[in-house]
Amino acid sequence: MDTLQNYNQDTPPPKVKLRPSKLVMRLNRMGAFHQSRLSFLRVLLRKLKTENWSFDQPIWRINNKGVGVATYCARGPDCTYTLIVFSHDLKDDLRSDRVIAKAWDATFTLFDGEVDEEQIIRLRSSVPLQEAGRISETELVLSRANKSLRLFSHVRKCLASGAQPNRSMIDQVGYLMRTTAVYGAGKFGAADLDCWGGRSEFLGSFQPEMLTVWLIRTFSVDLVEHMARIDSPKTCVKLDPEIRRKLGVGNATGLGMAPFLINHPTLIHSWVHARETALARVRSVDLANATTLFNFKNLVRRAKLSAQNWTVTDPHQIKKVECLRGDLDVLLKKSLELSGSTLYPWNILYKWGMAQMSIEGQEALISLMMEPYGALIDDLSSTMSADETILNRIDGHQTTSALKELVRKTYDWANSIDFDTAAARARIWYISEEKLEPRLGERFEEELEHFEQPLSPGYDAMKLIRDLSQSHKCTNVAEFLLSFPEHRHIVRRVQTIATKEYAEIQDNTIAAEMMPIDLLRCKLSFFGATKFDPRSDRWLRINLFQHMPFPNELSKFDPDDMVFPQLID
Amino acid sequence: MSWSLGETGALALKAARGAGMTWGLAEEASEAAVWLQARGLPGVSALCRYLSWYQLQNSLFPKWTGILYEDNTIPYCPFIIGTAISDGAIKIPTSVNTEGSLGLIRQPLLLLPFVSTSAPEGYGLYVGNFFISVALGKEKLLSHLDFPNALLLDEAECFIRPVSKAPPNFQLKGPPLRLPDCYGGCINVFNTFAGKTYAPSTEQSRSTGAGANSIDDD
Repeated sequence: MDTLQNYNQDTPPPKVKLRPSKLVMRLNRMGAFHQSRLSFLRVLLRKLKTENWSFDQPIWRINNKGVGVATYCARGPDCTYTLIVFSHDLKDDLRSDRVIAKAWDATFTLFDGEVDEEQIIRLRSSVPLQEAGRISETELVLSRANKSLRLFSHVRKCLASGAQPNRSMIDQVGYLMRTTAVYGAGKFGAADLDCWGGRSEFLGSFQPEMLTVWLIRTFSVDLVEHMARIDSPKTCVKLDPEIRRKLGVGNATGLGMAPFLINHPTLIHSWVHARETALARVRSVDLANATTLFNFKNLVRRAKLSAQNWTVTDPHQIKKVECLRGDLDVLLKKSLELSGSTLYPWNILYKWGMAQMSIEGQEALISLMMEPYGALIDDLSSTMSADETILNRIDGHQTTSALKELVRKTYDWANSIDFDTAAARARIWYISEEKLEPRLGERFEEELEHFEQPLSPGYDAMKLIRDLSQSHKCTNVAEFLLSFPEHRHIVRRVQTIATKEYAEIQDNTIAAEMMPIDLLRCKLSFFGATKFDPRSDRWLRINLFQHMPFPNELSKFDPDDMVFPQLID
Repeated sequence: MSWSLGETGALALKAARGAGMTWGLAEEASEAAVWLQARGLPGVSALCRYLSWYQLQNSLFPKWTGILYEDNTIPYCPFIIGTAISDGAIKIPTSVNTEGSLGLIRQPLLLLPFVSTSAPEGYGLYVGNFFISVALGKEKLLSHLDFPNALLLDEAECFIRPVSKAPPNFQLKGPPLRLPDCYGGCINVFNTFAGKTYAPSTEQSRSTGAGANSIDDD
């Protein structure tokens, strides 16, 4: 037993301090976060397994063209949820990951309870329309997915002929279908967070969404096996379970997700704070026993195997992955130096990593260090949520000098930015009329000033300081806001995040060199995504649930031991 | 068809901004509408009516200087006055038998959320001569509705006074967690205003979005 007392929810505060936000909340580091035990899909699967959920498929009415309806039920101790799938016959020239697409290979909704024919008929008229339709309070999530056509066709052909698909092709792509949107929390008529947020199975963040995607994964495999069976019922075979587990669900994520990190500072603080607390707890472990160290070294080897299969085309990401592979090699060598008598071994490893590894490697190390310590950190997952439904009231009694001091302290990082230069304000966030999605424009090249979204807190804070410095007559915030009502938004933000160390991204979100992809990756890492594959600086492909058990395997496998591929001895 | 209150609030925020409010004030407007609606009061309708007026009239009026005139002929904005109350720039009477006049307020129902969180227990918001009194308790809203239609008065003199009589056992209907279908017209109005915050798409912006320039057969 590793010697840190109280391996339970009464774990004492870690001896090591949490990393400061000025280190953690920089975009280049946030854009290097990796999935961890606290990622939402990991939290979900752990819970489903611990609570012994059962899964079944009440309806399969998919025809020989792959068109029809199917349902998947997830049955827990208190509630049942049903994924309803509408599978469509999509012409190849209409297949697109773009948010402006109007048709997809399959559309989905997660229904709150068991579903009957009347509900299916109702939902058939709305779910396939996606944003153009409306769902209701009995639906929690709305989603859609497209096939990875090349891999889907290959797997279908192989299975029909009685063979298993080519493993390297499976490794290269990693999914049969990829979602292009997963909407929850009240969007398009779905049930509000209030309706289900208090349910024990959904404690944390994005749990209904994760459940939806996990069940979509099962459908993607069922569909390809079905089509293979249609093609050649006499010779077809099912996918080998081991190969099947190599398939996750892909996703194409673009700027739609980017403003989330800026618009939800309290929530983001809760996520990052949980992760940093977990890190601090692990670093505070006095001694690690031989088994833990042995398992850790194997984990590093498995992570290296995963990194070897991490195929990307973006030159920037190619370099990061290459660095990671090298980092994992030296990490393995370094970890061999640790023994059961090494005091604070993880802290030693952490400090070494911060000095020797790339940022990508450092954040991978942090995730790996957490893996052996579920008993020490898994409780933190329940802290990764925030009630942001009620607007924080502004404290009008705060003095203007106190507010100014608070702004200076919180936005210290922005003080050194010269916002008068074009480069510092080169970008502009706006919502596009076409699909009501966030976009990033070039401020001085496009006529977009009128449409600017409030997604530049650093710049807003500097404007606030300028006006606070000139408002000598105003002694408190209430008076200040009477004279300068345009600052209401940023004043509220400053006051809201005053006690939240990790609430604010400490980089200029409208700078010329800002990479939106860093925002996307940070959020996706908390989802549990792997195989980040940037296709530009503002969209990327990822994989969710790769290597994880399927519903019919959950009781047999430990999902926490399946993040990385198994070593082939 | 119905709308979740969360979705309604997000749309109301964009609508208020599209009507010309600052982002900070638009947040207050959206929050107020949803607060009311969640308590069974027609907050969305009130905001809808207010935005239509605000867009046309607001630029014609001088900026409020922070002084309340009881005999103002140009109605005050409920959000400007409401936020001034919640910020503490306008003092609510707290002594027994004192009252505070807020002057003529446009769409006064929208003032209620701000007064509710700031007024002491036992004080009510009185709106106009129709004697609609809303006695406010901590964490709860009690209502004495002599004239429910006055909830959507376009403008009225508003006062904060001690409640003159104990309200009857009037139970607000169970607060709706969703906006029912009958609010479709308001949603359309919100969408029209929100549309003013959306920029026309260009080929340049489409070409950089998710999925752009991708091969979809991989």
